[in-house]
Amino acid sequence: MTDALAVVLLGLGLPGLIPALVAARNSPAVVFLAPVLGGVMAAVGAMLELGVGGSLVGWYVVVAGVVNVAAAAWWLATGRHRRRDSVRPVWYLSVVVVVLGFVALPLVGLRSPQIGYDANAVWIPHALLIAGGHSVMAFGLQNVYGNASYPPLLPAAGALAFERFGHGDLVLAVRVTALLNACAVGVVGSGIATAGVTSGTVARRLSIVAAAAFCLVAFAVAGNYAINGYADLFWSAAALGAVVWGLVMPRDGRSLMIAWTCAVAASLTKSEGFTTAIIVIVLIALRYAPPPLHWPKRAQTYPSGRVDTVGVNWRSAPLWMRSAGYVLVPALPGIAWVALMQHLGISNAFFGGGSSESATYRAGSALSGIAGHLVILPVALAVALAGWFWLRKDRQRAGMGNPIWLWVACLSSLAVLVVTYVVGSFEIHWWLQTSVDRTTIFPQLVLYSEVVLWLVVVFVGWSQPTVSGTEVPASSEMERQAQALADSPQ
Amino acid sequence: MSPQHRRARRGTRSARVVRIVITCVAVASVALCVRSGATATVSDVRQTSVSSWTVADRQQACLARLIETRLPRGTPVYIGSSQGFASQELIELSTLWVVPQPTTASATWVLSLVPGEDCSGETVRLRHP
Repeated sequence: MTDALAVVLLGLGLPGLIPALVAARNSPAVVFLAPVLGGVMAAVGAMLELGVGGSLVGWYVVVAGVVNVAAAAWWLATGRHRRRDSVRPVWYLSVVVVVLGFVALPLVGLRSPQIGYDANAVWIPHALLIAGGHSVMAFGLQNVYGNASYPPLLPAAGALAFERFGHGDLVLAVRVTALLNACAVGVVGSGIATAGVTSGTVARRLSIVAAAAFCLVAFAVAGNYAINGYADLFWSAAALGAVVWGLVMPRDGRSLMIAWTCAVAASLTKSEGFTTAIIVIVLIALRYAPPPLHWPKRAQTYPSGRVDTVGVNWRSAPLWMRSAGYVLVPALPGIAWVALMQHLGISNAFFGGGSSESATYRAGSALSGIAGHLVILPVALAVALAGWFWLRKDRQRAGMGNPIWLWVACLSSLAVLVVTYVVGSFEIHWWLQTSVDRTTIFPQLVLYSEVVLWLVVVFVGWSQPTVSGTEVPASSEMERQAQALADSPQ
Repeated sequence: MSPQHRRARRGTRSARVVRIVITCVAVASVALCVRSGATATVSDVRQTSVSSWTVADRQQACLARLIETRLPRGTPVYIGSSQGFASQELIELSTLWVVPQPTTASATWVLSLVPGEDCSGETVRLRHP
């Protein structure tokens, strides 16, 4: 366990610390984001190893060096314009300690050296291939190994562990994955705790408790998959981190950077993570940089005085380009991996051939299989509707975004999941039986986070009661900040 | 009392009730989920589970050692076990020592996992393609 901890803290966390500090500034999420960022850099290193040549360690050093220098340069360049957030050190420490404690608690399961089926069949072999260098990796992925198109984040982290400690103990990669799962869940937990930061002392403390409870929920939903080397909790928690920081938290640069980092991590972890990350990235772009809804035309005045619109007004083009940039920048690493797989002729086994079952039959089976794992859906829906109807002002006062963003992210990912099951080539019942409990981890986590976030809204409301729908005058500096956030469009 | 005041008081009372209901529902659903997670974790760390996974872990390490002692490094091999876990496991355990091939044509040896005495009831069988 000490070896895995060393890899996550020193091998991934340390190189990710400066970029995480620049991205998340004084957010408690920094502690959990740094190893996730390290994982992203390792994944990019593995991509370069496969695409260009060389070894993972060599490319990891290069990528980490470039990212750290760029982050430090950005930090120095924006120093004068940086906003000073008034975060109390006690609150910061409380969030870090409590969230850390509650993501560590379920890891006692690592006492049992479990290696899940996919860990044996996919993730550990991929980690070994990455550790083997360019030619071993390229030959193995193109010729022998299953699910070769899966993105490389977790195998790259495992490969770093094998490079440092040897590959005699395969459980090492499983433990690294479990620790990264905890980090991704920690990023979400920090977000939930931060959602209540603008309220009174009691509400702030209760928000930390809610965050801690969510961390336990995340591990409970994932079950054994959280500790036996599967990648599903990692990508789900990372994608949820993108949802919470990018679509729920108040709009600011810090939240955007955390959200983008999480989205990149999800897109580089698994194929489902890629599609979900793209959905979340598009939603974040729509929230932060909405494109103009119409494409205005250039006005032309005729000698008769008649004014007509002709051609295209290119003045709106920068707005569209800005929106496109908000999608392309965080989506680029994931797209690069997909392009690399296409270039190497590595395809996904799920869509290899047609299925003899009809689309309606497959859709019905998929829907009923998925529904069995979404018991929380009606509860979350009821809570969201009641909250939106009666506690909307409290939510706005907490500075949280419109809950519709979160629901669109959840339902879109579910729609993609159903379509995948419908168009896939495997026998539908076998496929559902072997995967649906994992593929529904993301929607389950999103729905649980919705319930917990409304709980935080309740805490905020208790600390600042609304009187007949009118605003209570903000009494403290923090409340005034929250008020300003609530007044800004979400 | 004016109609606005009456409406306001009703709204405040409704909001209070909704807060209590949301708190109860959220706490109950989170508690139920956490309870199921705790049950799973407790069963994971039970002695029987830990020892059975430790045996499986040692068996894998033993099989990997067996491959390393029987074959020189870099040997091209074909994994001949019937499809499924045995095949995946052999690919995993042989990676970085020997080089698994897509067909027997380029392989020097065919590896398969069979019942035996070497590693807790299993062993690696080698044969020429």
